[in-house]
Amino acid sequence: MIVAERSQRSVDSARTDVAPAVEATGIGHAYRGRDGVAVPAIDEITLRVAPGELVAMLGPSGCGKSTLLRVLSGLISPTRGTVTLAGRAPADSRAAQGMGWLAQDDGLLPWLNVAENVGLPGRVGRRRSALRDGAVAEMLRQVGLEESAGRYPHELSGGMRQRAALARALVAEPALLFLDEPFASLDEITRERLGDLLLDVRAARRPTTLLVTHSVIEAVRLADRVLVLSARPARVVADVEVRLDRPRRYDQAGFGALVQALKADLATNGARHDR
Amino acid sequence: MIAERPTPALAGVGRLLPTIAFLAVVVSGWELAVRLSRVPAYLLPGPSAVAARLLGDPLFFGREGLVTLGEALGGLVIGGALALGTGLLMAQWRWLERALLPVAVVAKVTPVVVVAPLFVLWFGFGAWPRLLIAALLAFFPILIGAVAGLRAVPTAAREVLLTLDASIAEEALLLRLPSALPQLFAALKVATTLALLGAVVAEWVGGDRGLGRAILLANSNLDTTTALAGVATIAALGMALIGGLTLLERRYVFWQAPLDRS
Repeated sequence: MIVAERSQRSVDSARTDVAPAVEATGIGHAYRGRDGVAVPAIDEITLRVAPGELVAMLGPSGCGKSTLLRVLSGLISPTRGTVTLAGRAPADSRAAQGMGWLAQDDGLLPWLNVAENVGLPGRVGRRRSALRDGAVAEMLRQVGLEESAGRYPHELSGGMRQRAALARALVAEPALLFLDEPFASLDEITRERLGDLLLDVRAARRPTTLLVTHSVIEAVRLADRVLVLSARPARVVADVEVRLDRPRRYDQAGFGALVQALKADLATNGARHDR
Repeated sequence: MIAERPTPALAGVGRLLPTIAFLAVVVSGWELAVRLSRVPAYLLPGPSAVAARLLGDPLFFGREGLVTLGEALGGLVIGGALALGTGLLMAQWRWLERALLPVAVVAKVTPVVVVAPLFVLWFGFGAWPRLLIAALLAFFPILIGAVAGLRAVPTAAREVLLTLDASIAEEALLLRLPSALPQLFAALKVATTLALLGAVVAEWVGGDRGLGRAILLANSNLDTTTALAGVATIAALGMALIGGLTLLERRYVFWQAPLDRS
């Protein structure tokens, strides 16, 4: 019941936005299994994200949330429904307004040094001229890697690599930032620091941000809004606006209660769709 | 960090020690056996005789060796360029791989001694048949290495490039080719020895110069010492080529250990 009420509220808030940065209508995606049978990964998902919003998508492992992010980004096409980014097809929108992408695997190119990796958006694609002079150096300073500019990825720690990848995602000032469990392979302290760093570096331009995570605490600490997904095939089972003051602390009033409520949503919905 | 690697020079000597010791035992055993049993030199000369022959006429072996080396390297360049180009296309379009790979396999399994006379028939007695036979032998391993390497692209890096709206050419240049380098170097090492073999066989069949020709002539004159000196020169060339490739690999694939152990 509570879930339904919260859903209603966020639908209302989304309705007031003129052009949603991300809009998905009834999208589904099914993989072709080995025996040729379609295996649904996500099912009938409708969502809207306002420009500048940071939305966390929370779900049990293997629920299809990474697939959802790839469908929303246009990396894979939905088998059902439509996706638009700022009213345009994802590929056009990516080329026009830019998209930063960061996954659990940093995706740094091992044969380029840190500065060259961060400067990659200036070397490819139709939007390469969007990289300002000096942006790489400035970005490296923001993520604390100015002294590692000439080092190679295999010479860096996991946290430093992830910082470099975050810098690369944001350096060309994209309007969209898509994050797929970006800090999942890091220890808890590094993870928390990188979460704060993410809020810091996106503060200037506020790109619309989708954050896929399986950490409830991370979602509550960082997001403006949390979507809870069911077990596979993923469906949106709760849509919760996080109205906590920033910077957020664990001992802040309401933090623990919201974490508990979201965990309960996750547990019931994870179990319900297991069979 | 590069800390896990020991000092290169020291490690190199340490790694080579067993090889050097083994070679020393084999060579001195051979010399001893030849001297004790008084085998005539036309059957089996001792290593000292072969070395004396080599050092007695270094210009001859150097000149003929350069001819063979030139043919092998030329073949490697021609075969390698064709294989890399074909590999790039095959990695991009799978239907092309299905169309072309069987043809490549047929070319690969046809014995070179059968093909070589035909090439001489078609391309004459000049350098072309020798270059083309070396190229034919070098082609297949490089093609296989290229396709495997160009396909095995790290997914996360590829997704980053796709979200950056990179074109197919940009993706090939910035991601596919560099990430295929380890596989390509492993393939190049195999292809190099094959190209050398191709050049030698081609010289046997229809050449007026080169180490293959020199060995053939020496054999028919029962000059086994010269034949073995020629073989030693080929072995030295092969090792020099592999060594050069290994140095290039260390220089350009610095982010990971070599795929093979040569």
